[in-house]
Amino acid sequence: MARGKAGFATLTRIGRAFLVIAAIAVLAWPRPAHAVIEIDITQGNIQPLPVAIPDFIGGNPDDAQLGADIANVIQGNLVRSGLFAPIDKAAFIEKIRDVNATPRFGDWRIINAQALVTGHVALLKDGRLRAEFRLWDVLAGQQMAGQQFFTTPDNWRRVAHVVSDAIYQRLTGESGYFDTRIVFIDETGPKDARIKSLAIMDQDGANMRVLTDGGELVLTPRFSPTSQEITYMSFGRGDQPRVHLFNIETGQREIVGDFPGMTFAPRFSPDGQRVIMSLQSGGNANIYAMDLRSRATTRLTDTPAIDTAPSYSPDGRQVTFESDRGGTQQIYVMNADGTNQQRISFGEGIYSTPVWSPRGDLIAFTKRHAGRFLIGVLRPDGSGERILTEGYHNEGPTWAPNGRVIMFFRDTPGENGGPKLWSVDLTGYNERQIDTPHFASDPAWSPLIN
Amino acid sequence: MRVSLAISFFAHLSVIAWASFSFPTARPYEIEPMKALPVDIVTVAELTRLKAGVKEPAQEKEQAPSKPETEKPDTSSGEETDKLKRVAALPPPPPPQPEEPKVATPTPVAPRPQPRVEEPKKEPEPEPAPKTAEPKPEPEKTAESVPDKEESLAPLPPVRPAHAPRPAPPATPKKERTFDADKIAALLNKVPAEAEAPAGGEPIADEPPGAGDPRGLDSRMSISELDALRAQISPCWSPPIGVQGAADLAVQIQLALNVDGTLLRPPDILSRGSGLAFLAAADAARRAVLRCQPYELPAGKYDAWRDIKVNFDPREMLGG
Repeated sequence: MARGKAGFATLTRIGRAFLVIAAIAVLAWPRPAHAVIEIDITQGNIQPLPVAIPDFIGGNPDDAQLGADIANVIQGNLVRSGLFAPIDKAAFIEKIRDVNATPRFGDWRIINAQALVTGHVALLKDGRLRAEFRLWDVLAGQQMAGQQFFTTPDNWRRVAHVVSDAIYQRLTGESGYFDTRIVFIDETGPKDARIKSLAIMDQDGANMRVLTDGGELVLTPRFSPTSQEITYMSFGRGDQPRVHLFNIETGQREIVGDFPGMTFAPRFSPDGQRVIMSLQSGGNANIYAMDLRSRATTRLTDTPAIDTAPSYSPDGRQVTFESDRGGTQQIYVMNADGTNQQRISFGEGIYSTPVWSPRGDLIAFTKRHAGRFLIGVLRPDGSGERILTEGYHNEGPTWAPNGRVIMFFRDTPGENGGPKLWSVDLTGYNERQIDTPHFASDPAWSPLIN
Repeated sequence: MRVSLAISFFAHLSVIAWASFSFPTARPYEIEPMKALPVDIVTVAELTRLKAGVKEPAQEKEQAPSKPETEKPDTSSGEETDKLKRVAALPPPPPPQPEEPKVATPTPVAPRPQPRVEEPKKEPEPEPAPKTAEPKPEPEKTAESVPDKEESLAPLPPVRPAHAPRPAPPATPKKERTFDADKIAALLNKVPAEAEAPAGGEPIADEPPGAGDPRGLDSRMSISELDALRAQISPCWSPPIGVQGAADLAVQIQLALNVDGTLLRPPDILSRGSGLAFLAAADAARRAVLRCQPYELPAGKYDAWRDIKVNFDPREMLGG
């Protein structure tokens, strides 16, 4: 009994102390002096962001010319993305003289710039090129990003692309796609005797190089996701389709193998270890996966239909392909081991060339319906089908590495017509033709180079 | 043992016997009929919106349309309950004036006319007054039902003492003893003049701005004013919608504004998030509020919009 009593007394003391502390806390807790209005903004006004890109500063005339070139490349990249509206240089008020000094933001606000890019280039004594840039938030009056690069002088375009990527990423929240290359088929000659060569260029059309001599028919180039390698299909002697592996940096060429009956060029898996392809035998075609090291092939589909154009998902666990097992060509999705094959396209028309976005959220496809050729996207579960563009013989979509832009090719009718490369944004806007010296088809977008 | 048992038995028996004889003949309790005490809930909001005085309140606005139940900032209702609690702790009201007690009945009904009389004053104001919607029908009703009305201005509702420095309006109706319907208008006109007097007094130190505000305006923003502010900010907001998961990038910003509508200091981002997408969304929200200043807002209600929280939510733009 006594013990219980003592315990109770202690508790009371503790309880009292607790109450005192709680009371003090409640009384001392800061209270708002007055009500704060809260409003919800649910509608905005999507506009390209006005950005000012003055020439990069250079010490001597050579550097200054380089600085101007870099600024122009950056401006071109941002304009083509459709998300930015660079301001005419003639409207600039302040002349940037020092990249480390804070700009006079008032001068830039007057011309309605919301972001400002300042930079500096210098050719160093050891032959290297040093470039640096700063991205400023004009309205808030502070720096948003800044980087410095060292490289060889003839790599200045890549510097401009990397800077563009950094600006794009900071302002839109997505990774950029400017430091990439496009591999495609360059077509020359008359329509009935086309000479097709493999070609590669920067995504803005510069630095175009032809990689094969045009002697044999080359088709469907594809980029490896992990290394600077391309695979393509060539029909050489005896009409045997052959898969080649081409290393861009070393220029080395390798024959992966003779694949009699191949209908579609292989695509790499995201880890670069396997390729997936479609082989034809008799009247039907089925999908096979091959390990590049062991050269062991696994059969994934086994139907009397034509299953072709396979593409891996970015996590490598699923494959999308085109099949006519249901009567017309439609898009299917299955696991990477061939199980659980499901049809996902149910609209009217013929669906083909499905390509999984590197972001994983969409599959792009070509659709033919009532004589119209369309490029569209749909979600991997089959919902949300959207048509992005319609055009004459639209075909062959390929994704930019950030999953935001699709490139494809479109024909022009007539005797002198030919295919050209086009790009369109995921939202369906900003359809642009890519500048190539000749006709071009079958584009494939590389991953980011660095 | 036996003896005690016997005594106990007989005692119990006697008690039971007495009970059985006396209980049925007991008098039932008499309950006097209680007069129903009409209680009028007067929110402190109504009192805090007392005007200093407009000499000529617009008479034609007396029948106000039923004010729609408007959305108020949630914090304000929380504030009001706080104020209400505080007010309840104040000392009891002063006794009624001597000229009053002629009629016994008006006393309980007294608290009522206060809101009734104040209604016409508030009506010229365009702001919504949701809580006044309830007391309004009744005061109109009782004005007709209870004849000796005018001097029942005198007894103040218990909440009144919150504004102690204010001299009680009962000073007014010393003259009229009989209810004269024609003179109601004259009476109504006088009350604002009375309320004017306390306006010159010092504002209550711990009351939030708006209580007995000498400027005489309700410092709450109306729906249309909030909409106008929304319409000023919306066109400047260009969120990143193409990024993956853009629908979840809601950003909350706190603004501190000067009287002329410009920002007092850089806006604070209240939301917490990480990743490039959130950074871009927060930047877009910040740019939106910086771009569109100065904001056109009613200068008289500066205290209401001195601090604003803006929630940017792109979910609707992306189709939910």
